[in-house]
Amino acid sequence: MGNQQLIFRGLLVVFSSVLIAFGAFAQPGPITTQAIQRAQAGDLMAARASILEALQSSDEGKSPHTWYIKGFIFKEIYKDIDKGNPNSENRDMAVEAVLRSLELLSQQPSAEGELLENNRKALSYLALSYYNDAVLQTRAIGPNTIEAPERFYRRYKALFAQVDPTKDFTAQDVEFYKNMARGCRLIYEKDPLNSAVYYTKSNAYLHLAIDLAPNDFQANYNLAVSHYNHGVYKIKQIDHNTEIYELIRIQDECIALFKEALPYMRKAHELQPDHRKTLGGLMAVYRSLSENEEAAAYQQMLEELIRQNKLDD
Amino acid sequence: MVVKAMYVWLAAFMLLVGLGGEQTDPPLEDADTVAILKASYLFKFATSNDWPNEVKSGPFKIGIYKHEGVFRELAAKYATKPIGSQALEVHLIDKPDDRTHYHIVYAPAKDGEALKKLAAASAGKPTLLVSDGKENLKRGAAISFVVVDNGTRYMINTDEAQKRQISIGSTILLWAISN
Repeated sequence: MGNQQLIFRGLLVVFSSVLIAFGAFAQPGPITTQAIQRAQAGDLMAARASILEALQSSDEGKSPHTWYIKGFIFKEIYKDIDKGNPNSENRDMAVEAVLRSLELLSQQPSAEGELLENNRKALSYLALSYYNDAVLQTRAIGPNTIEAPERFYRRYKALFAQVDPTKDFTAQDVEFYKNMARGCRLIYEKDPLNSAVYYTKSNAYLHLAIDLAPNDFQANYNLAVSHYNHGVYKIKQIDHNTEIYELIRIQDECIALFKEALPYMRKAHELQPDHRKTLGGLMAVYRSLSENEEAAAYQQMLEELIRQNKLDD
Repeated sequence: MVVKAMYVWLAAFMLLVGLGGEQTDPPLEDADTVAILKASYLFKFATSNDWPNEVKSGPFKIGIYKHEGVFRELAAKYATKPIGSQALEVHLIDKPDDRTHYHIVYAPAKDGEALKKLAAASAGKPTLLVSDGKENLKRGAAISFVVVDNGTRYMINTDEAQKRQISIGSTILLWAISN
């Protein structure tokens, strides 16, 4: 409740400032003014009707200010009435309005600096709301919602690139791919037998992260664990009905997976040599490959670091 | 004023966005995969080989010499499965025992001397001695696990099996690594 009041006060400040700005540069048309007043009174649906009417007018419809106000009103509807629903069409309309305002500003001989800046900030806010949705969606990802985070993330990048064309998205891409990998992994782990495709997808996202950031510890470690765990899962499926030739075939598949895990676990160890997880991981992988001397060497390293109390967790 | 108000909104969103980096690493599966494989092989040796009639009644006993990993896997996964008409019993043993008949005894390679003692304790009895490493086929083991291309396979000393009146099944012979 406190936040809502704070945000509403903020909205009033913005609108008031816009009105002041209008006074300085251009008077808003009467219908736009009515929309602002209705929004100030808290009647967003009435404000919506007014601003849509203003945009139909030949004069007010060409004003970047009118489009800017539309952006704010629809953004408020998205936030207060749609409650931030990720699929809110009102947010999309807010974005379109801000972009239209920017387009109209770019056509003016001398762009109004404050309105330009406010539009950029509004676009930044809306872009971040898509990023926020992308992140939240990766945490609740399911087989039927796997495409949603990508869609929101692409939208975020496209919009934010207009706010800041020099923005480097690499770090965010890496985090996003790791989050997607995690989401896919959790689907796979719930039902490995019928969700093998999510194991593949999870690994593909980790590969994307590693392509962008080869020295990312977490991506390397997680990819190694993914391969290793998949091998262990397969071995654990062997039971009394497994024929000996199947047992040998399954084992061969698992050896391939353990070998696939090894370079990523080594890389993670290279990045964090005193990490308990990588030392334990290397021990496990080498032991599964029957390379017992190597496994023993890492075990010794682990024990030595524990003795010296130098282990990272 | 406009900038200030915008920052109020931005701050509210940045708080959530900042959590985007939160990640949890997948836990590494805690499993002795080689022990799982060896336990599975031992079960197949039990079901696919043939013992003389005089030991085809009562429980089918497998003794695991000082290897808790293989013992645990075998007991957990296969102890409820019958071997023919015999109930399977899995025992963890820590010394040669000439008073108990085991159908199979698995003794890991690192204890070559123990293997000799286990062989002596079961001499003349239909006990299939299984060990690790090619060299143990000369120390009384009829079947020995060997590492081939990082995997666990096995070799057979058919003479040793014959001496103990155990007939090695054709499937087991087929998939053995030759000397």
